[in-house]
Amino acid sequence: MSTEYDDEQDLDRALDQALNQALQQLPREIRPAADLWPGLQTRLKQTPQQHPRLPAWPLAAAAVLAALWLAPWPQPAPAVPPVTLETETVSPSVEISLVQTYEQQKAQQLAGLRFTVGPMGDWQEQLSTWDDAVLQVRFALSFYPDEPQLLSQLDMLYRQQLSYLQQVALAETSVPNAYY
Amino acid sequence: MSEEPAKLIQAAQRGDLQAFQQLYELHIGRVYALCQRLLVDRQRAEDACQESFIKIWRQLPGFRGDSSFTTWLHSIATRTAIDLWRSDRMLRLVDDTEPDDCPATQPTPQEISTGVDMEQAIRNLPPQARAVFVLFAIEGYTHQEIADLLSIAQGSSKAHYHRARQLLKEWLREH
Repeated sequence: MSTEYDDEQDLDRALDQALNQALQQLPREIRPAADLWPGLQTRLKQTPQQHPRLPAWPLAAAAVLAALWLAPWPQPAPAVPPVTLETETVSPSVEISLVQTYEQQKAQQLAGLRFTVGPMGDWQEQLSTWDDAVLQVRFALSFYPDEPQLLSQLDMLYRQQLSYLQQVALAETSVPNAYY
Repeated sequence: MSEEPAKLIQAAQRGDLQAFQQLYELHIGRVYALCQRLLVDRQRAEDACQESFIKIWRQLPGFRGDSSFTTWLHSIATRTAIDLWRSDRMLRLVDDTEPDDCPATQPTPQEISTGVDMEQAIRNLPPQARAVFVLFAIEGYTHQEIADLLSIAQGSSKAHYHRARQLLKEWLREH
């Protein structure tokens, strides 16, 4: 082969070309001689799939919203008893039962309120911000249904919301009906 | 193929083994080619394939489509094959950071004209040069990616690649 080339550089270039051509001709796929699927299938049946962990941002968003509501509102005495959470043996239905219990209490409190804007301002707007925070935590719970911290956050948000509604109701009783 | 790959992926993500088998059939050829070229030994290549598809199955629900499925699958297979390649080297207690000058065996003259010859020549490269060459020249990884995968410097990757090319050109020259 080398006799066809006058100098080493030409030969090197030709070899480079030959190598590149040989590489291009290599098959992209090579099938294994043995059928690997039966053995693989047996192992796959014993291998559970890993479901994705929650990305960091929903947790962070929920935590930030919760922190925001912790900061501006002075914590009144817990007039609303917390819903008991069995954090050691949490089941996926805890979130639902917690939401149902608090929403029921919230509906009762809301039914007793007369005004949209009272002495404490537009309480509906305040309430909707809490609702947003609740939704964020519930979104996070859709990834981590049994996350005790998230359930505690949900519990805390509802208690804050109910405490706030109690304050709104108290404020309403202190003013005459004709005030608004 | 009876179903679209996207549907197969979704079904396999939900734990459908039949869908996963179809994905396996679609990709086993490329995965095995990588494993065989990297690990040389047939049994090790088959082990690497099985391990790769076990990992792919396990991690499949986390695949969100940020990259193409093929890219995602091959990155898992590549890392798995490299892990085995690395453990093989450690087991042999061979330090081949300096490439061997004497590959174990040369292809026979009969192999040269069959198309199997280049495969054989690649297999006979020193392990580190072979790994870099396979990843760069055949699998299309960059030297930076190879450096990360093999835990070597980018310059070392380039040096091994250059060495591999030189050895293969010498082999071509002889044949």
